[in-house]
Amino acid sequence: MRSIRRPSTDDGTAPAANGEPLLEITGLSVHFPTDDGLVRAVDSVSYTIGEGETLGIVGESGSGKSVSSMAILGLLPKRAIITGSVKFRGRQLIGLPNQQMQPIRGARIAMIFQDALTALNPVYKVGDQIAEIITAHNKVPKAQLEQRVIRQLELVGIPNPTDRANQYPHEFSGGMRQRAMIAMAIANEPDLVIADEPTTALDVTIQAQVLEVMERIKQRTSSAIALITHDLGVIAGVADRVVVMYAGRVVETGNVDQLFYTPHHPYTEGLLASLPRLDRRAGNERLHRIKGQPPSLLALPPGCSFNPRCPHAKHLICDGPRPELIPVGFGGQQSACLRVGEIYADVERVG
Amino acid sequence: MLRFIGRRLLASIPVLILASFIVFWGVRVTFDPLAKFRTSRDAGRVIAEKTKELGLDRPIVVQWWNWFREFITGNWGQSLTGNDVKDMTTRALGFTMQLIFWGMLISLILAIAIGVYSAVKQYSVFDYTFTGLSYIGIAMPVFWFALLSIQFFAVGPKLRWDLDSPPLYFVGLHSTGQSGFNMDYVRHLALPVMALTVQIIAVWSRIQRASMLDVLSADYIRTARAKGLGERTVVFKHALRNALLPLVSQTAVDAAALFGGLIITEQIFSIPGMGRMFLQALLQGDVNVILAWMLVTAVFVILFNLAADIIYGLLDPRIRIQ
Amino acid sequence: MTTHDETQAALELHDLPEEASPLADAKIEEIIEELPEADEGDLELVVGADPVARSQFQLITRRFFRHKAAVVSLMALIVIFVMCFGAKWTAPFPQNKQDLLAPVVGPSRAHWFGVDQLGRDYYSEVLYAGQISLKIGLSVGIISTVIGFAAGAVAGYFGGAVDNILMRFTDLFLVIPAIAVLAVALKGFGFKDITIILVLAGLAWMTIARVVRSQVLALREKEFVEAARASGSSSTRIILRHILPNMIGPLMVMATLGIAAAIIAEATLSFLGFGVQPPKTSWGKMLSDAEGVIGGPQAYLLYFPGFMLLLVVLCVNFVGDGLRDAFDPQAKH
Repeated sequence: MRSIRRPSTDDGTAPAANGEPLLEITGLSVHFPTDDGLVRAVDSVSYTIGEGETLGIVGESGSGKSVSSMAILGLLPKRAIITGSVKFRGRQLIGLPNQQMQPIRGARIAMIFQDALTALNPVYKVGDQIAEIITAHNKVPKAQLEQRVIRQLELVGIPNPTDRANQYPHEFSGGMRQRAMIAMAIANEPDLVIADEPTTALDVTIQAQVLEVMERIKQRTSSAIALITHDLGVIAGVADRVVVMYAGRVVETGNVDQLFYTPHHPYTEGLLASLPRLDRRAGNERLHRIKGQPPSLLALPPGCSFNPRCPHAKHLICDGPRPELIPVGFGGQQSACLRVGEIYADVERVG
Repeated sequence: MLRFIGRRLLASIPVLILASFIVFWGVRVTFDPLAKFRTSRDAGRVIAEKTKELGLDRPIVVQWWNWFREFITGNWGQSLTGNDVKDMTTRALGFTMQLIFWGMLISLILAIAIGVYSAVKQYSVFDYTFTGLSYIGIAMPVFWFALLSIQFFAVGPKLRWDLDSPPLYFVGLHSTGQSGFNMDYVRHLALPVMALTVQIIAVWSRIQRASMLDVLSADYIRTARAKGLGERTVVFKHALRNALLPLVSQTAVDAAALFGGLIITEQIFSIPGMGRMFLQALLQGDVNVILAWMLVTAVFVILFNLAADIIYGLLDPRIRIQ
Repeated sequence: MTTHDETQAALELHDLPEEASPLADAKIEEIIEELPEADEGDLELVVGADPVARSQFQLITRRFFRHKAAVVSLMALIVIFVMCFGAKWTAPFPQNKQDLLAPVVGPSRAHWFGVDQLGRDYYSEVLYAGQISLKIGLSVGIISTVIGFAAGAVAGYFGGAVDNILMRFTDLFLVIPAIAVLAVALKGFGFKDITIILVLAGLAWMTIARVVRSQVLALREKEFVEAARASGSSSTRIILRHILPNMIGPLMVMATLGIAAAIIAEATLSFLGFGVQPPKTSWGKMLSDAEGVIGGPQAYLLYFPGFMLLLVVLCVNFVGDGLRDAFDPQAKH
């Protein structure tokens, strides 16, 4: 797993050759042993992120989207059983000891968490916490450090950055805190930024501001972004490609247009249909909802995990073998629906 | 900060005044100042005379005020033994302060160390062992532990191995003729400090462990790790400071109990400190000493609380900005 | 957003005075009149209160029995209680049977705990002494919990002046060491068993009241209390029928901690001479009597009463732990 040629960065990773994805996840599973049984939070998940690409990871709570991303950085509790492969620039991250993960965390791969109030240490100043991520990976003289911190705060649009840097997290508003978290995450110009539900805890108007910041980051830096959310509206504006997760598995992937206009999985269709839309006839239609509840991760149904709630479910097909992702069309879209050929007439089954 | 201290001190004054009144009242009711005259031959007349002389026929508030007024101007009266109460108290305080200083120092260091290590290495042998020891330490009556420690670490070994002197001493803080900080002093300190602190360390280490476990599962610790910080930095810089907060609060609550524990410890180890002074005064009905002890102790407890508040404010900026 | 509004609405409801809507009150009263056979419990269900369901009791007991240390401790305590209070039948020798000519020796087959300086069988003496120690500990624990709950609930529920008075009053006793207060009080009031119990309880209720108060402050804001108030329940009813059942868990834990603390307090006071007086004896008193034998061949006189104290307090603490887990398994420890 070590690169044979001399690595050009000192964390053991190699710059991506053409075509090689930045991050390649294959068959990742995360199981948690509990008193009530084995919880399969992530069940053989595969997806990739390319250089500079913005990948949206969509799913309900409990779909495994956050857990799979934390597995990338090795941030899961010790009792989690993690199997599979996560390759970052060709380097295997699963099983890497902390010592070797540390140079990557915060420097090559950074993470933004959902609730910035609890994700920032309440007893240290915001400026100090941003400075900390810089000095953890670089030797920066003190005079320059202050400047860099202030520049980071400016980048994310925080007014009066000099004053703000000397304040504590509880003195920031919600949106500003989230922006400070973003500033912290991009401070070392990472190759990949994982944003775990960055807008979920915020008001809609503040959400827009934060997304705007992310858009700005996208344009200014060459970082890839993994944007995890349950909100399709957020995805539509920002993502290049999308991965849809359900009950710990990937059910569909594709670029953002493919997914929104030509979804090939009943769950994706359900998600899209339940979006309130202005162009529907008001008053006549009720908000669509997917009937039923997500399954317990302790006891997944056999075959396709969406089977119990799927309007197209067919006995013996959908409750038999476990579905794998198969290509749909030639644009890179993939679906894990066992009946994809029958439901979606336009599909030419490939392979 | 100074304003904060000033404000708190000011707020403590009514508490002190009220507490002194209740204490005065309680002591006056408990100890009959005319007791020794009741059996005298001319009891009726003597009592009437003494009552007027000592002002015992005035309302209790007036009596209290007279005493209080004298007290705060430094006149603490005389003990039944004839000594000046203030001198007695100052001398006794000297000894007690030594016990408190060493006791607090060792308690804090050990409790934090044990608590943090137990939390970081949860479910390890260390953790289980110290959890068990803590349970025993909390349940153990302090005075019994003191007696046993004398038996097993002092008198017992001396007799068993026919030593000149016990390995650890159990009377006073210095051998005759000795003074200062030397091996003799340490051998005298060991058992009383151990007795004083065993229960405190047991309780505090549990609190520290619990709060450390809480903090270690907090979101900001996950963020710290995600920043690529080393585990030692995560634990000692990010986690510990937050985890100390509940312990600091607890020390304030336990301040009074600490002074109570001193009574037992000084008595058993014959240390002429405040605790022993109080006990002897209680047995003899030495009212002036009892009152002085109560007030001085209350002042110290209030100062302890204030110190804890200040430290808490230093650690947690959320409290500061009021 | 919505949750915030709901909370706001609930809070505003709370500020309504007791005699909120005479019309609503009247209607409910009518309904009550018309249900002669109805159990008052039915009304609670109607107003959407939060009764402790019967099956929850089974759930709690089952969770308690999963806690091995607690179960073992409970059994040990029962055994100790029976042995001590049934000492008339369980002790091999009658109480205080002195034999001044007997050799003062340690444990043997005839005398499990040895013989004390007055020739008494130490084991029997320990059992009889246990009656006092346990009686005082148990009584103080229960009484202080009852008083503490009453005071804390009233202060927390009604707030305002009553609350302030309680807090200031208990603040006073926080600055003076408990042992000192107890010693002075007992010297003043005497050393009879009942006096000791009342004095110890008279101090212990304060800590409990403070904790109860903070819990009640939180419970007061909950929806089922709102509902009960809106239906016109009197404050006493609300406190007893709604708040109390939701606090049973923490209350029982506090009671066990109180019992443990009381046992140690009595032992310490008796040891210092301010507790149980002869001819009565408790474990603490026995240790006081035995203080002189350190280092000598009779050191065993120190071990047994102290060990009983340790054992009982340890078991009570474990039972308290078990109760805490049984009522609130989410609590991290």
